[in-house]
Amino acid sequence: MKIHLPLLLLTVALSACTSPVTLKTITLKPVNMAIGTSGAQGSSGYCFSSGDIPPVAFSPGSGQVMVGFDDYFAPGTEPFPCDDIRWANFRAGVLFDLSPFDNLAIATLKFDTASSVERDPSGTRGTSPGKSFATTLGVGTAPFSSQMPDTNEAVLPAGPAISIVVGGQVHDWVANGVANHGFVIWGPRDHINVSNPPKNNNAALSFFQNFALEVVYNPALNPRAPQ
Amino acid sequence: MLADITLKRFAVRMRDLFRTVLVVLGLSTCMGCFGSVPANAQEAKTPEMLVANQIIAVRDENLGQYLANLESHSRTSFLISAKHKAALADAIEAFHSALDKRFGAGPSVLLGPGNGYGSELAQFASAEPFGARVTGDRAEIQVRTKLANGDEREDTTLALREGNSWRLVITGPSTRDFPARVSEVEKVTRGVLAGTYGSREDAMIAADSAMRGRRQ
Repeated sequence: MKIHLPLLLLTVALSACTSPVTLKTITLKPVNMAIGTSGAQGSSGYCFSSGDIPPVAFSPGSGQVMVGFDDYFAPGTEPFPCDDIRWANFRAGVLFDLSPFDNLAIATLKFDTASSVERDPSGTRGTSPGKSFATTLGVGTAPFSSQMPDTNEAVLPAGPAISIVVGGQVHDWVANGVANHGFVIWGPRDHINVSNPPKNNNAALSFFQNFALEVVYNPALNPRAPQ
Repeated sequence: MLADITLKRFAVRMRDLFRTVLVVLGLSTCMGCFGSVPANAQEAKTPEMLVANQIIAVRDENLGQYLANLESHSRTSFLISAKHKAALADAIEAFHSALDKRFGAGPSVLLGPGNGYGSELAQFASAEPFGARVTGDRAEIQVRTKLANGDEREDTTLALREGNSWRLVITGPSTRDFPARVSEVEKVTRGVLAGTYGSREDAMIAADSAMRGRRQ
């Protein structure tokens, strides 16, 4: 994700050619957040049944989103093993209302890793502030759904405090007519191929909070925005 | 089927479906003869016909027929596990409610196909048998299922001949430790309401461990 440099230069140049202009900076809060759950659960092997899979015990708290995965595997017994299996990926969607803007110079997405949970064969551990297991920031290509499809992806910096410039993406929304379906945060793993599912009880979940989109703009070019 | 529901509502849906199974079973199998076959059930003369009957039962959401297609021990196991899963879903629903009450509720969790009991079974509506090896009164039937995303999975299901009919055998892991897991989750829930846990994460880790039993 890059600073939209030409627009920034244009804004500064226009400012220089006319009367002095002070760029304004405001911080937006999300208007909608959701968590998409993808994956599958059931049985595999010598069976033709839906399996006995316990529900997921994790959920985001107030103002938080949850990103990562939580798997379940209970092997069947020989000679006709029927395994219970679940693999679940969690992606977060975060939407900001940019409708008052026509032209932005800089946009920076900021959020914190409140806590995280990690499960592997050695046990389950929680940490606060947490580890960020999310690896990717994209822009949504459709309204929030379980799959949270995205495009125009960028590598997320490590946490716990995360700050990433998103000027190009935001400019597409406000000036290029691209529908704003919000940011999509995901990782550490992509969607799973059903023919090769993970057969373990691992989990890596991060809980993110304090989402803010800091935008810098010329009020003269954004008459509907706060002046 | 794309569901847009919160975890709590998901848990309620799971619970209701399990209860439906129990109610249907209670009605379709005569009182006191737990696990018997309904009189109007379709009988399978061959292993392949058995799988076809089961696929139709799933497609039509005919739980009486679904259960009739199971051999007697599997039918009983299915009932018991449905009861266990319903109890665990209830316990987790109560846990999430307690979490939200104590720490505040978060945004919606959107669930896709395969995350609900109904949709789990629904995937078998697209299944087809493609081979069977019969040894006396036992058969191993190979079943290919096409999933919604285009992937295919293959399972080998077992069947036994009971009288003149073939019936499916369910061989999944036992749920006999589920009641103990329910008790542990309920204990965690009481702890949440009593303020035992300092954070939402601590409580969720405790509930997760309780729900998984000895498994990690």
